[in-house]
Amino acid sequence: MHSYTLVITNTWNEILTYRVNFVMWRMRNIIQLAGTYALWLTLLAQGDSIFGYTREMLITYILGVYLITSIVASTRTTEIGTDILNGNLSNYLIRPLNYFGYYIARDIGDKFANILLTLGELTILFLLIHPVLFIQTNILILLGFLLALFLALCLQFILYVLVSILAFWSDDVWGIRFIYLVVASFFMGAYFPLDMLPEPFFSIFQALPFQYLLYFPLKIYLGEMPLMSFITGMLVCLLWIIVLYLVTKMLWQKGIKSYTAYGR
Amino acid sequence: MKEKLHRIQVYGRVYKTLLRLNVTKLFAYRANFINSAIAHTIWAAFGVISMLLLTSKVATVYGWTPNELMLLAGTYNLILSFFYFFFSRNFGDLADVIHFGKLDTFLLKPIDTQFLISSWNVGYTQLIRFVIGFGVVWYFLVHMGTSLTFVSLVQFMLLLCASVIILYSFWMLVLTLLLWFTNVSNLVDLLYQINGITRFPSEIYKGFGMILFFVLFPLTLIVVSPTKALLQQMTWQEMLVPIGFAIGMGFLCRRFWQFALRFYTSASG
Repeated sequence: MHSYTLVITNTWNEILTYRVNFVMWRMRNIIQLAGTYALWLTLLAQGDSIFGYTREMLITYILGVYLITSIVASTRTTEIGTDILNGNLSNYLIRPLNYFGYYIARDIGDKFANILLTLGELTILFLLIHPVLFIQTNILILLGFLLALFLALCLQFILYVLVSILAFWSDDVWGIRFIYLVVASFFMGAYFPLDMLPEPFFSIFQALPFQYLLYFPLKIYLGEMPLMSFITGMLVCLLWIIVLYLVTKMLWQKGIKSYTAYGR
Repeated sequence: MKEKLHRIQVYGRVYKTLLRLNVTKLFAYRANFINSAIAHTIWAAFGVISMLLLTSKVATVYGWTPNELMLLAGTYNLILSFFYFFFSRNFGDLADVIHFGKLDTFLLKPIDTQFLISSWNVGYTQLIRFVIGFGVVWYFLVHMGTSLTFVSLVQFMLLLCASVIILYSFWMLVLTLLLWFTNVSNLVDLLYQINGITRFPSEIYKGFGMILFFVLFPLTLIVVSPTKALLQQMTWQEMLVPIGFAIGMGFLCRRFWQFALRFYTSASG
């Protein structure tokens, strides 16, 4: 356990060492938020609500996307693909350390830094533009939201690892990862709440695992998830996690057999 | 004059060779090409779909009708496809080129360094984005019943060039800072995000205060001006603003690069 705590601390120190790079990454997110926020505010100026979302609900959704993305999407698993491609994976395989445990610890360190900065940025934003927000006060709903968020973290980690280990068979893991990021951002509801889509499309989006990364937890927070839909959603999300975990495990075992560690 | 013409011919020949070499690279790394093509197609398509959805419930946004906003989205893809085709991959590599001292190789060649670092790689996958952008522009022009005149087409072409120059100069100005801050490798990611700002009318950013609005102003001209030309809402006088910005920023980025090169210390510096 101590080794993993050290990994978390090291990741944190790494971020502090490359401060400017980290600040740039944060600025990139701020610009994205500013663009989305400005656009929705403009569209909301046309009436009291849009697509059934009131001003406060929509602004909460947008800022929620910003906060949850920084928790769910921040990761260090990008390095797994590089480890496989440059043979660095061998260094980890011979250590008395679980390779995925190591990356979970790295992700925790990375997420902590991202959460802290996101909260700081949102505080500044509140002070500057005083957005009208929907504050959820129901403790049960908040607990449900936190549970959904935890499942989202697990699901995203598995999906990231699944994409990264494709490096066993393809040397263009960057391209595959980019495709994944583009597709996932769209299907998880990062650009707009998914229920704004016309019916056949909304149903298709709901059948995919991505909605559990963002849209589903946010709808729970907004109190727009009936109990039955909540329970069904949680079970389906759990099922996705189990299935994707098994697929990832199988691919990892296959991949590790074909791993050659170039130049080592 | 004769010497200048000769130099242009030399640079033309060099660029032709680079285009050919990049085609070879394309066939050598086919998987990369396919993945990149898929990613860019999805990216452009999702952008268009999002815009279609967002504009479906509004009558106008700062005087822009939903169809005109879609035309804006199409022009955005068209302009970015040009910029990404010619330059962005080179800028993506610039951090590494400077950080690992590879700029030495470029400096030693008997050709302008800025030209070389800006044109080494060609993003052929952007042709797909161009097709998508062109398709959207064409569809919405027909849908709105806007017929293109010779004047509006000339204006559009001129403004398209001006936009690519503004975008290039802006990226170059920012990335030249890498000569001092060699570790800031993800500056390019930030610039990609800033590009996204250009796809909306400038007025939507007014809420962020006048200072930010004016900083963003030249960037928001990039897509808005050519779109207005297509809609025949651009006078020759109005065109002077983006063209003036393009000339000014082009000159500034050139001077800044030449100034900054004096501080390049190579990898061992």
